Amino acid sequence: MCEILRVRHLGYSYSASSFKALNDVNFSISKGEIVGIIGPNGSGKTTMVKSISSILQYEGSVKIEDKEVKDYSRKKLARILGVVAQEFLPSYNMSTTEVVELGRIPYTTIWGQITNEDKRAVEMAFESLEISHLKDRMFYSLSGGERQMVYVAKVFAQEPKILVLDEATAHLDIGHTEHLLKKIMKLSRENGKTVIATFHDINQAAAFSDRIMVMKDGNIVADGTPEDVLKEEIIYKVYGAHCTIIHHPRTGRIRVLSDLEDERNFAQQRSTLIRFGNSRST
Amino acid sequence: MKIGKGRALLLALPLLTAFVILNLAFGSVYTPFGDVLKSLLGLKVPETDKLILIQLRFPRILLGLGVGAALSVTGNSFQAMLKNPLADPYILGVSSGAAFGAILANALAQMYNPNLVFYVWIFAFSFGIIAAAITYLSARRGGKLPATELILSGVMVNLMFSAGVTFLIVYGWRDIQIATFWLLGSLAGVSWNYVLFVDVVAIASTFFFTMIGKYLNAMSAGEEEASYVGVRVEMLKVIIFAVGTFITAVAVSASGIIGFVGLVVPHIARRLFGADHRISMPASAVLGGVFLVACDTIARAAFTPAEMPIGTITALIGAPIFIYVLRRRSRIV
Repeated sequence: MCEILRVRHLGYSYSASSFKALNDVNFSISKGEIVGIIGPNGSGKTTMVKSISSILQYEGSVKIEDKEVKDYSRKKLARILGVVAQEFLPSYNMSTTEVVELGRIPYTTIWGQITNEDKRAVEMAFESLEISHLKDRMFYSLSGGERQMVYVAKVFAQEPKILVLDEATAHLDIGHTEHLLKKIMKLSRENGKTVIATFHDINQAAAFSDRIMVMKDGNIVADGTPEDVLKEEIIYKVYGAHCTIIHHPRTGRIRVLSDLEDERNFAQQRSTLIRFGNSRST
Repeated sequence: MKIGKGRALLLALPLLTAFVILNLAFGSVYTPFGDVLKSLLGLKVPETDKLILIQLRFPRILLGLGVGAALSVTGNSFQAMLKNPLADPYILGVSSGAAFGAILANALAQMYNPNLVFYVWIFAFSFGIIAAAITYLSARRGGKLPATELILSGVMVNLMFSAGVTFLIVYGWRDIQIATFWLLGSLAGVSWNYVLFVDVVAIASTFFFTMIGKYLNAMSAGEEEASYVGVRVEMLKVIIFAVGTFITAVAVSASGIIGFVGLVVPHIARRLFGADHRISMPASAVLGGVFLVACDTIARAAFTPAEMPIGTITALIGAPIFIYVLRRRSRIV
């Protein structure tokens, strides 16, 4: 498969501190791949997203289709790369159509306005996410889940080749999360879109991604299929958490179970013992 | 029947024109409506009425429309750029700078050279630009213009020039009346040429901000979001602040610091016509112009023979309207 994104020696430091939020990161992503990025808070996931999308002045090289992202004009880059962040919070209450129309800005000239073709793309974005019933509603009258769907519709309308999700499901319930991720997988499968998504929830990443990159302290410490990467020792090394790896009984996909439950059982056993001891002493 | 917001705005225009003509009748001397219409149609009316209407009231109304529109569209764009509902055209310090320049020119004219009175607006305009330039330069960080730094620098520059104004009034020169004109605003005594210049600037700026409305829509979702959809944020900021500074300096040099309009009219326009800047910009221009003309009519007609500074009326009338609009349950909350 042909390579669409190549990252070499990527580094970034916030302010003048010597602490590196990203430290010599190297990887490549092929066209049509769905890549999940996981890692604890502060591991550099969002910094990576912002570097790839040329928001931050990074060190090293980030090339999309063999061209450095810094060298793309903002408009050209927006046609190639669409970003969905955790939340979309406009200061004014726009209508949902106005929000989705923002995705068409990269296709208009400086003074140009929305054309019929743009309107069709907006319509398609609503339809492909099955949220046409939300059209022309006011953005802040929607639930959090609906708002996120409209936000994703905006990025769909942008028609990018690479879709970047930065913990886009962090505030969503299980229903909205499933709906959203399914639609994005469908878009990737049918249109060959490349997807890069950061996750807090390891199991969401496992269910969604073809490939997972695990980050810690600004580095990629593991990279491979979910089966290769999601191992108990890696999870412990990266998150400091004990877990058990199982397979989903129906889909066969890998699942990570936290061993917190064990702790509870242990605590319960202990309290029973104490109670038993107390009753014996009285 | 459902009509679009843009069409509603167009339909409102003839009504607003009629309203503006009504304003011609009022002032310290009442002119009958018949004479107003006759004079506008070029028919024969008493010479005094003609003089009052054509030389005094008409330019004043046109200036009110221009200044109101210019301040409102600038306020609207600054609020979107800074993601701050309290932003207004004066946030960069243009107003205090211009007032300082104007009062300095008047003081120098009285103390040294009376001819300087003819250059007051040049002083006002130049010091307005100088003040905004100081704000801009002190807020700039590594090629970027962070919103918080810009707002704080603007506050400092405003305070600095206000102190300068007080210093001039107290030590150098004690003509409070002229100072009041600049500090609270007035639409009186501006030449026809300058009125037309202000109106051309107002129309051009409304057109400009409406055309770039899509970028302002993107900016109101935050700078990063705007970048993601292809907006060159830092460049847009520089352009909008430069254009906004020029417009504000033109408006303040004509009419002094008229508060409230640039702050509140954009909010009212957005409540009535929605948040889309492609509609809220022309709506702000129309509402701002009409609001200022209405306030000016009250300022000059209700307290005859005295004239109330227009800034007082804009606040007295605008604040309750704003609170009403804010509380009204509407589709656009």
